Amino acid sequence: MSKMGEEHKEDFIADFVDKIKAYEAPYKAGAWEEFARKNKSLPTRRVGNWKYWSAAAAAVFVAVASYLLVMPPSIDPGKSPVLSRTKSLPSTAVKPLALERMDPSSLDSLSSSLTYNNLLAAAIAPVKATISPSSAIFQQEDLLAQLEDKPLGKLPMYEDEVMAISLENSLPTYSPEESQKHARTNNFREYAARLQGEELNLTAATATRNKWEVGAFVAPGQTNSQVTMGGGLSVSFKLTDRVALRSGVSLQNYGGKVAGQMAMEMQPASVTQEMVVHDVYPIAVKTSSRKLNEVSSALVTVDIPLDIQYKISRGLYASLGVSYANIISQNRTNTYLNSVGTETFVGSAANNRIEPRELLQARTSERTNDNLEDTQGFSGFANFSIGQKIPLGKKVSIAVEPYVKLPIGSLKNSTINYSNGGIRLSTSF
Amino acid sequence: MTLVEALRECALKNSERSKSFLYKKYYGYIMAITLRYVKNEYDAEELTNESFIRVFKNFHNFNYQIEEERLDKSFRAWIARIAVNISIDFLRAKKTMESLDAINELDSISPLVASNQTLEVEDIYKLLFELPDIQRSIFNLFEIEGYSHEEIGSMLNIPDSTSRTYLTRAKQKLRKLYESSQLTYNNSNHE
Repeated sequence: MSKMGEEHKEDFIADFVDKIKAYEAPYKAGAWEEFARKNKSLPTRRVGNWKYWSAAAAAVFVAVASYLLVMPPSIDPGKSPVLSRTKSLPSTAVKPLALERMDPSSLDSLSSSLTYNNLLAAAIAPVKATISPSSAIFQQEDLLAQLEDKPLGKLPMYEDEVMAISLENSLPTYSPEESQKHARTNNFREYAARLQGEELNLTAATATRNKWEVGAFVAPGQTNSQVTMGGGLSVSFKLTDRVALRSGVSLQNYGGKVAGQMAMEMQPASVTQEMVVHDVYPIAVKTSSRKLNEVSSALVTVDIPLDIQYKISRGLYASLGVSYANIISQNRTNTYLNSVGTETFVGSAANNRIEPRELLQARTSERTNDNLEDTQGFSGFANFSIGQKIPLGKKVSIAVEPYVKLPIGSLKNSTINYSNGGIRLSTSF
Repeated sequence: MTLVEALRECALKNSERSKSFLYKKYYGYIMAITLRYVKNEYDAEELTNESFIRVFKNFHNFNYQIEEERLDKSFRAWIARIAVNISIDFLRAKKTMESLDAINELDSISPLVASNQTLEVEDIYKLLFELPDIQRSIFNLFEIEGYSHEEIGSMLNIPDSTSRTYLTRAKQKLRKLYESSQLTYNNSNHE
């Protein structure tokens, strides 16, 4: 072959290459729409931003709500108590102590025997008896055992699928049989069916990644006497299609109070000057009493729950578990009802009678360090809830979840009933 | 929307608008690449879409903050590499690469529709697909994509020398195919 012919042949290769390099296939109408339809699961930043903003908004809300609601109101014992003047009581309404027969030394002994601690202990005793017995804290193990524990289903997947996407050689790998079959045929239906299968596998792979679910929540609630508030982040892991483990961390406040007259503390009577001058029976004696009227408590805890969620039906789920409550702040306040009255005695000891008196009452509150909750032992709650999840997007949803929390551990033995319930509002993404 | 805007928006927001722009702009380019490796147009479309999926998912790996003049060329090179990798993977998975000795390679030669002077791309593609998969792949990788034999050997798990051998065979066969098609074309014109 001539040299010219050789050059011509090489030219033809070069011409091949140039033409191939310059070639671009025509755009197929509707290709993008088809591509977008098939690949809706491709992540978009817009959704991501929305999630981040939601999480940030939830965090801000939790912080503000915690500041406003969780922190207990400070009580300044030094402040003047509110005085209220009561109507005059008839003389028979209050039986006076036989002060007229007491000498000053007996008054002292009475005073010492009615110390504050004794009175408080006496007040708390009946309250302790009213705390719910442990048997009422649900048969948790029984309920746990009832949850269906399905084995984790094996997801149909090709060898590496689109999960292992990288710039290197990591395209979906097809089985030899399938590849040969595919290479042999151009049958549209068959190929479309295979593509459908791939879509399913892609969905399954995505589902595997989506076993983890992160969310934020706020949980307003109510104890028997106070509004509670909490919020935090939660994370759940789907064990099976129906069962998931949920944990997280949250900041919670719990408050409660025990009200009603619990104890009376008598102050020593003060003898008026007339009694000394006349050396007989006291003409007028001022008495005062101090009743422990209310004990309230407020806790701020960091809760770490461990719940099991069971999917009852589409979107509806029940949850139960326990949470450890680490008490990071607490205070207890005693509220007293102080009564001050002047009693006037008329006549001798034999026929003394008491004139109607005026009674002044005052309510004072004191913060106390007595009977604080035990922070050394385990304290926590048994959690029960049922919720309805409402999807907002492919991955984002909100859930409304009424819940009940019953104290366990040291909180169960507290004088304050911290049982509470409310509605948890959560977002997951 | 310009290419710079689309690339920036895709990188920062991953918006549908930017992806649509890039898909439509480079669809033909990617399709032309995948069509060099797989004969079936339906397969080529699927490989093109797979390429775009990978492009969008790995967009963070592309440096779009370069001179605007070089941006198109740089982006084309990047997505071409992805499309080539995907196409090679597809062929490798098929396990239909030819055996080392391609005997009877010239058994069936489709006549070209045009002469050498007016050889169209479709005709060139027809010639290319007369080659065994492995020879066609090596011809594409070396002559068109610009890979070295070492890189080709690494991609296809074959020795460098084998890559060189196959390239030589591919060119020889293309030449024979071309001459045969010319002969057929000339005979048909004389008749």
